Amino acid sequence: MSLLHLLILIPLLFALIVAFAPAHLSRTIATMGSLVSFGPLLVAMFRFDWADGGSLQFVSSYDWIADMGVRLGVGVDSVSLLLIALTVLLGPICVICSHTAVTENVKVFYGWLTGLQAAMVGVFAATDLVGFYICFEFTLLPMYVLINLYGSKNRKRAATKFFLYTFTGSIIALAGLIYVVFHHRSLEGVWTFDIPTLATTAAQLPLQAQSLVLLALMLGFAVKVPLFPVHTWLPLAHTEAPTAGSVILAGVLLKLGTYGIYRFVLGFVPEAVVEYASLIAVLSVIGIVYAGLICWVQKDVKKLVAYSSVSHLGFCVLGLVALNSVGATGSVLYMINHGLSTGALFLCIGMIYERYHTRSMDELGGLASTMPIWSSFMVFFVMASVGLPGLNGFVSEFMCIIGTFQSSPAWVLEGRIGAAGGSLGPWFAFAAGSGVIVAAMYLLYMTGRVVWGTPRQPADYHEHPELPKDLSRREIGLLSVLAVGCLGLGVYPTPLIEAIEPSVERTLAPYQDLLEERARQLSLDEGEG
Amino acid sequence: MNTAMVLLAIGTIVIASLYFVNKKEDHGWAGTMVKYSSAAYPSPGLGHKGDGEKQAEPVGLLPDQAQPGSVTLVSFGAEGAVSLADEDAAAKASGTLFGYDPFKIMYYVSAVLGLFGIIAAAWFHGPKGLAGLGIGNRVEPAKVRMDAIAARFGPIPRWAENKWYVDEFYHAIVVKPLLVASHVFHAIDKLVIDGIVDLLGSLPRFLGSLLRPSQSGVLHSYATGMVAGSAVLVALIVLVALL
Repeated sequence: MSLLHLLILIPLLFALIVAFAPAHLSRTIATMGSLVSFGPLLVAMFRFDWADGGSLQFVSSYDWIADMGVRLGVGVDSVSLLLIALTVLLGPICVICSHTAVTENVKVFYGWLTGLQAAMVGVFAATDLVGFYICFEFTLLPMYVLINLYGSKNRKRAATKFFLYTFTGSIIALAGLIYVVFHHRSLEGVWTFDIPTLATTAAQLPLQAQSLVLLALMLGFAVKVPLFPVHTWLPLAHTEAPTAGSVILAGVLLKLGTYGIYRFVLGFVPEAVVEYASLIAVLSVIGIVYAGLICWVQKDVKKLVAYSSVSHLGFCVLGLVALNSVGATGSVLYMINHGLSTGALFLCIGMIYERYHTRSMDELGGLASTMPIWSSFMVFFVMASVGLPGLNGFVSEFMCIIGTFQSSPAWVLEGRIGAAGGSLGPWFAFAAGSGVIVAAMYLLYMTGRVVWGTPRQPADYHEHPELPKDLSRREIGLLSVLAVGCLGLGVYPTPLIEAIEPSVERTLAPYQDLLEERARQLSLDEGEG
Repeated sequence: MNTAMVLLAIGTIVIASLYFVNKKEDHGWAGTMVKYSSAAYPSPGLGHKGDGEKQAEPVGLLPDQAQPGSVTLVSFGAEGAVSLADEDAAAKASGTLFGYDPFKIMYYVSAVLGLFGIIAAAWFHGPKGLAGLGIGNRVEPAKVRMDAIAARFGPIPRWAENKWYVDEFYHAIVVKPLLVASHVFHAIDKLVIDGIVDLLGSLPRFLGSLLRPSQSGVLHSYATGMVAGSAVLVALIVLVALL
């Protein structure tokens, strides 16, 4: 029994209590349940050996199907633990922000929301493929219910599309993962679903097979991230979801995809990744600029932030496939930072929606005059999202771009300082950098109209008795927590970076030789040709 | 009178005077600033294409090995870094403009042009009195010497008064195309990409609607199907037996 098992079981237990307790208590029970998780988390973070962050700690497993090597295994390295921390942080924030928003069917809402937290922690903590996949898929169910029952106008379509799209992707990923398991069986003669063990044998697959596994895994995780062509579920799902749903979707669920790429794609099939890194990078860069430009012409504020998630996570994946330490560290940092800043943006928009019941920029404007506190927070988180230096977005964005820039095989051969071979290079960084400008364009345009600009209100606006005109203390508290996180990580990201680095080094260890080999191969081809 | 510009000018002169006022060898703080700045050296940075010679090599500042704590100008040539301690080598490396150091030319030309501009502005637009340097004649706001001759310059005064239409230019060259691109991308996203997804999504339902009539519950059609199916099977068997 490890701390991680506790972190999974506590929300699950509280979800069950919510299911059986009377409805007027669900709010309190769910809040308590999500806050109680902080206990084991803080203990885990204190007892974690951050210097040895690359190795799995708090490992513990129970036999499940012994003959097939299926176990309920948990174990975290520094990246997993940090993402679990993000989950446990955003969990209570989602619960607390829905206190006034959800008034009917409360039991269902809070029950599923708390259960969702258990599933998300389970994904990050799992060391067993079956456990990982079960939790990965289990996150879809609460989101489906949340969007379907508590969303806005187009919610049924959004929920169905979200569920089927991501589910299809993950089924294909499952096919790839099972292939790896079968390969291990044929190689070693024993069934196992243990992720570290599979990583060592999967790397021995021939390039052909590795490419197929890469394709399968990427199809699954690319839908979740989302990457460029398979992103269309996101705007719909985000727009129609309730506030808590959007926050947890943008904050954590998208990171399941990038975490999957980090752990499985980078971990299982290094040769294929080296081969196809530039292709994945092209998709990421297209996602960055294309989604960014689409944001600019959106009228719905929530859709704008949803497309901006596509754009930002393009940076994340770009950093991962840069295949060097700076890029991958920046990418993991980006996962955490994006969770904080975009989660906060969705919170702000949700607060507006609760009061005005509209998200259209045609009907909202100049809110700074009536809601100054909200406006301050909104501008703050917009700046964090844009990548203003001093706030958290900048550090991670910068590191991803630098990683991309340095990831050029030519540089490795010329022996330039800091270059770490790879398939990307200055052109990718240039295109990604233009994405930063596009981000400023649409976010500042939106802020200019909604926060400043001519004061506008929807025609059917009426005041709510239980919601103050500006933010209530509860809402200020939620946003302050996230704001402190954004500012702190922007000004002093070093502890986090140092925590992430050991894990990144270990994940990228097989790439050193592969990249040098590839660089040499490319120079030979150029020399002959 | 533009207060900000006057203050800037006075401030520059004060700070520059700190250099000359300090009698020390290295001219104190101001001297350090000058010494370490690129202005003290002839043409640092990338040089010009020399007078018909091969393209000049890049030049830059490196720490001086001989005197620790100071920097020296070097040129990065094919043989490595070559020090350009004296003016001749520096001039050769960085090129000359009509035989003079380009940086000195830049000082003098810009100063002359600036002074000329100030005097011309005072003459054409300046008010009477000290602010117009004694040569202006503007008493009412809208009557200056320039107005009389502005028409002779064609569209240029209009350009000058409208900020050279720079904003409009950027809007036409950068903003408008990007907006068009954004709308196009938005349309592509909604119609093409999402269209494909929705098409795939409606595929099962469509296929189901094709196959549904076979499960109608009308027993006649079941009987018809059985007869037709057995007829096809018999035909196949006979055909195979014949061949």
